[in-house]
Amino acid sequence: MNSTDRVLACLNHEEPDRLPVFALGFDYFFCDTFYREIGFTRQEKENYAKDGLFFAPPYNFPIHLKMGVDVGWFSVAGGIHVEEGQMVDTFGSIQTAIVKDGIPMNWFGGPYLTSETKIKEWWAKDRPKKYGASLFGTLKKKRDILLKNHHGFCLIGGIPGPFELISMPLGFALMSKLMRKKPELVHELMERNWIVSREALRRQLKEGQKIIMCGDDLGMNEGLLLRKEQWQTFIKPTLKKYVDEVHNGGGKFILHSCGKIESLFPDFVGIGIDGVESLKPQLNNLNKLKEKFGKQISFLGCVDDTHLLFEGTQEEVYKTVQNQCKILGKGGGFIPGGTNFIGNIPIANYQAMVRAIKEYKFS
Amino acid sequence: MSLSKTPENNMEKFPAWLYMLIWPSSKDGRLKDAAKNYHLKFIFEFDDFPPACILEIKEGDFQVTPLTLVESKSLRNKKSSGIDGWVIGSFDKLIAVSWSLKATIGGILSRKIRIRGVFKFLKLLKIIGYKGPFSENQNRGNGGALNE
Repeated sequence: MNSTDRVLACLNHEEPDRLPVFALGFDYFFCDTFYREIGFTRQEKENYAKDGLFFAPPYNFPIHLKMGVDVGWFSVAGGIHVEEGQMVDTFGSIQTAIVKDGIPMNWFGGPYLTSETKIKEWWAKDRPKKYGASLFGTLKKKRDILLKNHHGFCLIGGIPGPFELISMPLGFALMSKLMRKKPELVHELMERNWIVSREALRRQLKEGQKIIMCGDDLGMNEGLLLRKEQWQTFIKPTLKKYVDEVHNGGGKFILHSCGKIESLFPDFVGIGIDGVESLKPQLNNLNKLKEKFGKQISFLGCVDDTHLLFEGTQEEVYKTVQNQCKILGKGGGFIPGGTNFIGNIPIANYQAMVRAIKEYKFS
Repeated sequence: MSLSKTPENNMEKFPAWLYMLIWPSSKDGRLKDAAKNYHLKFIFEFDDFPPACILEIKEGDFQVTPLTLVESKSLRNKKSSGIDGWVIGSFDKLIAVSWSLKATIGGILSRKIRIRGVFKFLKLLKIIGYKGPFSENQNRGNGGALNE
């Protein structure tokens, strides 16, 4: 079995020869440590450069390969506009970059569509615009090379999910207000975003993408970021369209969502989501979820990267991860790895996690 | 001292984006290989996305230094400043290449983007490995994606 076979077996609820290691990506802090402590040999550098695999964090696949990862993610991003001295993505989220002590990072910088007037002006400028076509070629090229030259490495494609495409551009205050007072405007926004997203999903499927994961953070540590009923009214119908589109194109659909989201699992199963990624174990009762939904939905991530990988010992990491493999891996449906982009954690702990996953034997 | 590790390397806005674009190839050693015999200095000054900055590539390393508008204009006009060229105008027009190459060419033709030292600029793009907005070091992995 190669890495992609293992991933597909897991998603089909079969036990593979060994569990595959998942990584959402490695951020700038981790890359900085990696290059100081490990780095690449000249030969590796030449090979990866020849394959065109070097990329900006978090999708720097040579690092995935060197760390022993089997499956990674490449989520294509909407284009950028410059508005009022800020970079704003085509859906209306401000994108911020900073450099601190020589290490760069970029992240969501706040909402740009902060009023109904701004939303309408945005639409008047014919935004959101569709994704740049060459993105899909880049994704396909990387996926095919990783598959062919690197032990069947599995590259999952992706785009942002429907909730992030309204919560980030509008901000929570305006989004909640509009959900209460102008639901028709929220539905229109969802529909306009969906038209652009649908095209991006179709392009990825047309390029042969078999697994698509959409990032759509719905939770925080304490619970959902919006009321469950609001999610069911405004977000779920569009998320179902994502799932159906991917299934109709012959693919598997995975949802990435941080936070405590276990209350949404019945809905996830109901709309046919194939897997959920992140699933921080201290926020979600994974054993219970596995028992209840484990035959219908796969679990990805699940290894605590804020405490265990960050401050645990290598022995603790190894033991905890092997125990998770035993419980969650039974009958397939488990693709373990850190719950989010890997940041400034000790590299030895990450290696202990990879060893624990690869050395786990199904009984 | 390595150019990219100077302690004052805290920045935001356009200089931070430029720095972030080059940082990966600087860390993994590709910049060192590509630029070991080069010394290039370019000014970037975009009215819609300040502040201006100088990008200096020297002996395989790089430095981004934010500039005030006054400093940028003064350096651009001074023959002895050691500047190899500059790119000024609208950053929005420049990155419109992500929608269509036509829009960016239109920006250049309408002088909304102006480039001095075109051949050295093309050399600079080659050295930093920039092949286009969606090629290997286009860094918006986290844009849609870093929002996750």
